[in-house]
Amino acid sequence: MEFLSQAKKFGVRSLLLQGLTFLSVLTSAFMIWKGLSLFTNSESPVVVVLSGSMKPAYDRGDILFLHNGFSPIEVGEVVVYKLNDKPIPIVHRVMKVHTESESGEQYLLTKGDNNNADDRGLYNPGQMWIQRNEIIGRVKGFVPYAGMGTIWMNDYPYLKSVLLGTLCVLSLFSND
Amino acid sequence: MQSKVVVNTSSVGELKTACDAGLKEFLKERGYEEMHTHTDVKLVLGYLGIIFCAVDFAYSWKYPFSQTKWFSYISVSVYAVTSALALIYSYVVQRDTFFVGYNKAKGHIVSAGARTERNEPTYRLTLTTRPIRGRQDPPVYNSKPLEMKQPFAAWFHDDGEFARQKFNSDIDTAIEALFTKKTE
Repeated sequence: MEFLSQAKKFGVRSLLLQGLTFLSVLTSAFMIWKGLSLFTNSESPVVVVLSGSMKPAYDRGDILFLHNGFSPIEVGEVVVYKLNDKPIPIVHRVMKVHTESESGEQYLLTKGDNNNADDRGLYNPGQMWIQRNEIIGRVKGFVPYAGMGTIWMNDYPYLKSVLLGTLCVLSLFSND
Repeated sequence: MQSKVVVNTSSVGELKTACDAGLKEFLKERGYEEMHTHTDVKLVLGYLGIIFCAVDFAYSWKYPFSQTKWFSYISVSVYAVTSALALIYSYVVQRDTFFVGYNKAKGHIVSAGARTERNEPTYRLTLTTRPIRGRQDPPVYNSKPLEMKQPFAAWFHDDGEFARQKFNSDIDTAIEALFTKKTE
């Protein structure tokens, strides 16, 4: 209700200006993310490694920077892919590539370095290969263990509330 | 009539804000209605970008990336352009201006801008005037801006209270100088 009293005192414009200041923080963050996403042609250019299946190269909690682009995938590249039914991205290495000569369509087989078997057990039932358009991106860089916070908050949901609560309390003590 | 204004005299920002507000009230009392052009331009540009961003957010939330990519290209470009335009407008067109007012009776527009140097308690005021477009009678028209500067100490008591009357009379003198100065 303090909107109305501010609107009466300073006019609708001042409300709109305050709204603009607040919203531009949110929108610029989102637009930067989108811009990065478009540049890398990847729906999620930054991901967190969730399992140890790529040890010793990548471990649980590493943050990976992806670049998808449009070029064909080569054997040996570490890629991130998502299967239609599962929301979790998988980070594994490409072992085999078959390219259809006419359409250029690629069929890929992947395997985690630290796994004993290839990923056919993970693919959808009946699926023997994954395709280029299921690849979210190739790994171009990483920061070790920087994503552990995200993992903890997913494993222990009450941590999210603790973080949110702390932020609220801190904002109460800030200057205005 | 107006409430007492007390500021922290060691904050140049607060001193400037109090003077800006004082000048606004002074001009409004003298019959100048505020023109919100600068604010409106920035509001329009800002919210245009925000609307595109919101639509893009909703669209890409519901549908997969490959399907919504085309719209994201558009919205990121729109957002970049409107943000750049708003920034340019702020730095090139608006600069230090904090009040623009038009006086219908007298037929002119007065624009006030103020600056302070870092850690220097001096108010640097720039006043300009131009005729309201389309008016028949030749109003007072001065093409050179009037610049005046005063240390804040002239308008504030030791305890930080704003000395409105002294301020108003100084501004009065400045406004008169603005209109009587001949273009050289």
